[in-house]
Amino acid sequence: MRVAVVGTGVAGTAAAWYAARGEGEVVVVGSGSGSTALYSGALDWLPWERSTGEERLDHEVMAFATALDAWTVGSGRCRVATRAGLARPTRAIDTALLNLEPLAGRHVAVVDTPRAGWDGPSLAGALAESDWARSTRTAFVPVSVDLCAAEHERDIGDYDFAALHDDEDRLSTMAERLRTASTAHDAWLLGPWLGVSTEAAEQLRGLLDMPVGETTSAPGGPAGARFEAARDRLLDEAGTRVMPARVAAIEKAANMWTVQLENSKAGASDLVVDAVVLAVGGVAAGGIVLDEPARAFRDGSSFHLSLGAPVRFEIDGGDADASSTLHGFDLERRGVGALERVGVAADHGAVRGAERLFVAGDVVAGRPRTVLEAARAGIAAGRAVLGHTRESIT
Amino acid sequence: MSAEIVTERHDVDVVIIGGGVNGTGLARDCALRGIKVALFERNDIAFGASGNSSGMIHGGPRYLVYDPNVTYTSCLDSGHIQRIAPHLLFRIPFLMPVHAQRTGAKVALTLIDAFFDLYDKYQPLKRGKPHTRLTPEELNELEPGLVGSVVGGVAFDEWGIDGVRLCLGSLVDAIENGAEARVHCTVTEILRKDDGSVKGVRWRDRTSGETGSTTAKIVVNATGAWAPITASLGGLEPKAARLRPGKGIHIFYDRRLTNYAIVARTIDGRQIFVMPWQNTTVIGTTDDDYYGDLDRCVATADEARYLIQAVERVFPALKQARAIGTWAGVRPTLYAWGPNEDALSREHEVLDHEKHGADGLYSMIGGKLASYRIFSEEAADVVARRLGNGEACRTHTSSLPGGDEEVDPLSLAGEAGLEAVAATRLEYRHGSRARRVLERIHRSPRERAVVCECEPVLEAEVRYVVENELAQTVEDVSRRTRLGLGACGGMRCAARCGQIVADMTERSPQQGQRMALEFLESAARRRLSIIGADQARQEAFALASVRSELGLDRRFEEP
Ligand SMILES: Cc1cc2nc3c(=O)[nH]c(=O)nc-3n(C[C@H](O)[C@H](O)[C@H](O)COP(=O)(O)OP(=O)(O)OC[C@H]3O[C@@H](n4cnc5c(N)ncnc54)[C@H](O)[C@@H]3O)c2cc1C
Ligand SMILES: Cc1cc2nc3c(=O)[nH]c(=O)nc-3n(C[C@H](O)[C@H](O)[C@H](O)COP(=O)(O)OP(=O)(O)OC[C@H]3O[C@@H](n4cnc5c(N)ncnc54)[C@H](O)[C@@H]3O)c2cc1C
Repeated sequence: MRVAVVGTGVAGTAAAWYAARGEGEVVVVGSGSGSTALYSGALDWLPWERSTGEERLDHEVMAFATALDAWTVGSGRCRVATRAGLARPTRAIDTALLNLEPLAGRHVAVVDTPRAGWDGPSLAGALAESDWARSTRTAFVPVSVDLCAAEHERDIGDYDFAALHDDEDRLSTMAERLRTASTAHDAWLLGPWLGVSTEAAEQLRGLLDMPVGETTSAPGGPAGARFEAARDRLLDEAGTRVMPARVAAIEKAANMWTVQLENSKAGASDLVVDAVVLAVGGVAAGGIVLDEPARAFRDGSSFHLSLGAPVRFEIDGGDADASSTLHGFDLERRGVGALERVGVAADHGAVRGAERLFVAGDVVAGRPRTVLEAARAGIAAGRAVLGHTRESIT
Repeated sequence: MSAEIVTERHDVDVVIIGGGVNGTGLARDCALRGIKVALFERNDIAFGASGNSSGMIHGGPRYLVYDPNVTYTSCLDSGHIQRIAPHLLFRIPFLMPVHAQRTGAKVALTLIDAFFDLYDKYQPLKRGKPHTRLTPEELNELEPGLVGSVVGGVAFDEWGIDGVRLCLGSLVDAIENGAEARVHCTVTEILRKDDGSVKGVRWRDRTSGETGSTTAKIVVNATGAWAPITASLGGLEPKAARLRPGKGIHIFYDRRLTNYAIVARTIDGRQIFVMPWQNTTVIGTTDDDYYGDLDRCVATADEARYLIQAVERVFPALKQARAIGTWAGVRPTLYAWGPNEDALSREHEVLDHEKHGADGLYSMIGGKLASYRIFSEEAADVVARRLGNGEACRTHTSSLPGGDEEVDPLSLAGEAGLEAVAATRLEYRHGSRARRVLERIHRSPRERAVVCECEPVLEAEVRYVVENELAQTVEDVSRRTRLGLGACGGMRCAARCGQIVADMTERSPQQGQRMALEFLESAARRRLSIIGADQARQEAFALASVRSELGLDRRFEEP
């Protein structure tokens, strides 16, 4: 029994992790950065504006988070500081982020350090005036401390600055400077600078013996990088084979799926598998592509996947092609949000009209575009794959 | 009766309604003559046609056949504008290919050549260079991206300007000379006395909700395409300020594809162009009757397609670039019956509404960016005469803010430790006043931070335009600085800009966040008609990012 998972975002990772419990071989094929690799570090279940942050999670999702060893998924709500100055609820967090929820009513120091794009006083001001801080009487105070060891570090990006703190000496220096700057508060809020591997934040907490953590990451910040590091460890431990390649198409032949790789180098030939999970992301990740009008006109389609596959697209419960005009998809009428609502038509993760073909994550129509939904869907696809392949074996 | 008028007290001499190029131009002219002015702008300065034009300070060669007078006044005034705001002008070398498939193409080329001989006579008025006739080989060498067999063409010279910066230059100068101005403050009524003559306006601040009235001896309706609606605010028939509203759109691309502006023809024979603008490419424009909501005028997909197809026919390289934005405006064209909108006159007129029973009320109708100064002067003459003010017009001799002295952007960059692009853009927008922006950095080094990477825009400039140029929202800052108009759609800078604007205007951080969302939403709406495969990915990505940082409201999710 062989399973191919296409896509190495959170959905593909969760699917592979789950499917690896089976007896067969799981191959994960993916390359390029998707949404997970560029996300914020906040882990939502429903889009947060519509959520209390207290939803119950499937125990498998909890187990996945534990196995990934980079996320903190408690039983209740978390709260993060965004760089735009919101203190917003979220269901769970990348462990390096500062969870504000338990700090209600306390005194949070916001690092004021001379780095381009970081304005500690203004962030502290915005957080202090947020509804949450007012109602819980939580204080946010800027505290001046220079975390840069050299002039040029003021201008490097968050990712590069974070990477410096994977070094233990650098991290101790940081702890030292924070300790010297002030001790008269209950926690430190920093920018997204605590390492691109997972341990730096935890180590810093140990050194300072108090809650320390990051705001959310901007796209391309360290949160996504930490996910990727944790994912690589997890898939390695789970014993799955990971192929850094792009899939050109999948095709069904003789009751098996052939997974064709893009410009496959000598040696890397097509995979032949029993089941396929497509976890290629949504429009934001390039997994779903809006067709140019000429193609839409020729093929009668308005979207396609980044690979050839027998799927149909749905939006708002109807066929996506039905909302197309002669000139392609009618975005003007549907609004830009349509680019998030569109996806592959599936029933509980099984692609409609295809056997042993599953989808999970942002690629699926009508599901929330969130990390925990992608994890849930990935696990569900992994479970479905096992169920089906067992049947086909016995 | 006349004794009463003499003793009557007024808040100001003139109320000007509308902050486009004509309203701000008039405000400046009046202020320089010592006339007391209050200007009201419903949206933002240059929100209408003035901030959404093609930005050409040209003599309009295409008007030469219909109306040489337009060409003359435009060229003459182009010379004046260069003198008062040299920093805002940039030379645009144009190529006009003559395609072989046109019947009588050779003859056409000769006629065009002769036509430009005529245009050359006006060129010295605006420091323009005479045209050159080009062989097909020369054309191909200058612009290899042109396709189609040509019999030759001409190269000629025009000037471009940032219409928003022009309006702000006039207004800031007016304010420095005693004028008052309120933006996001709409005139809701033109007040009249029992005898019908005007006595002022009533207004409402659209941000704070505050209302009030301002009395004046004269009221000038300078509301461009809104003019008929404005006339009705004074109880006049809308047709008292009749005009022909001609909507035009532009599309801009993520990269610079050509070094020349190229004139092309659409399938229905209209002239359109591709033009390099800093690091982008712009194509324009259309001209269609428009009777929609003037406050929400955006390019539609139909209009965008028409334009793109026409340009791609002669310049297929456009297909390699990504459309990242549009702008749209409505020309206030003098009313005339005509089958083809392009043939309408661009001339202007100061309408005296005494004939409609509203003594003291005037409307400025028509005009062009290129002739705004002359038009303003004519209107100011009318105002001054009525007020018994004998001061001479000085708007053609006295510099606009920043236009008094040439500054070298590279030495600015060196002094302030900025990147050359940042300094060049800053100098373009502010001329010698770029120094004032940089003085902020001396006082507070933090303000060197780049808020918008695409343009780029520094924090100091954001703060400067809020403090000195009446910007009150993220969108206002964007209009003044081009912040947030790059391929990322403002995803990386809107929230930060909102924080700064809220801080400067003593509003809460939440209001700053709301402003950022409003900008992001309206910018997304302006892109909706041109989103292709690549940009779709960027849009979805921006949605996810904005949701995470700020939260999305329903307007994003639904059309
Ligand atoms: C900027 C940003 C901020 C976000 N913030 C939050 C947040 O605060 N909270 C939250 O809950 N969610 C957030 N999200 C959403 C969340 O990241 C996504 O919903 C989730 O990561 C989707 O995971 P996925 O596995 O379905 O897809 P992705 O992570 O996009 O993974 C898809 C993968 O498939 C690969 N792929 C695509 N086509 C092929 C092919 N043909 N061959 C091989 N590989 C292919 C891609 O390269 C990619 O690696 C954010 C997203 C973005 C972009
Ligand atoms: C697509 C296009 C391309 C063009 N290209 C060129 C060109 O290349 N060269 C050139 O010279 N000219 C060009 N023009 C023409 C030129 O832009 C206009 O003629 C000129 O800008 C008109 O200026 P205005 O001040 O009269 O009107 P507008 O700039 O439209 O200003 C009117 C203002 O009045 C405000 N307003 C409305 N109602 C109220 C109220 N009740 N209270 C307060 N304020 C109110 C509006 O918000 C608006 O800001 C172009 C125009 C368009 C649309």
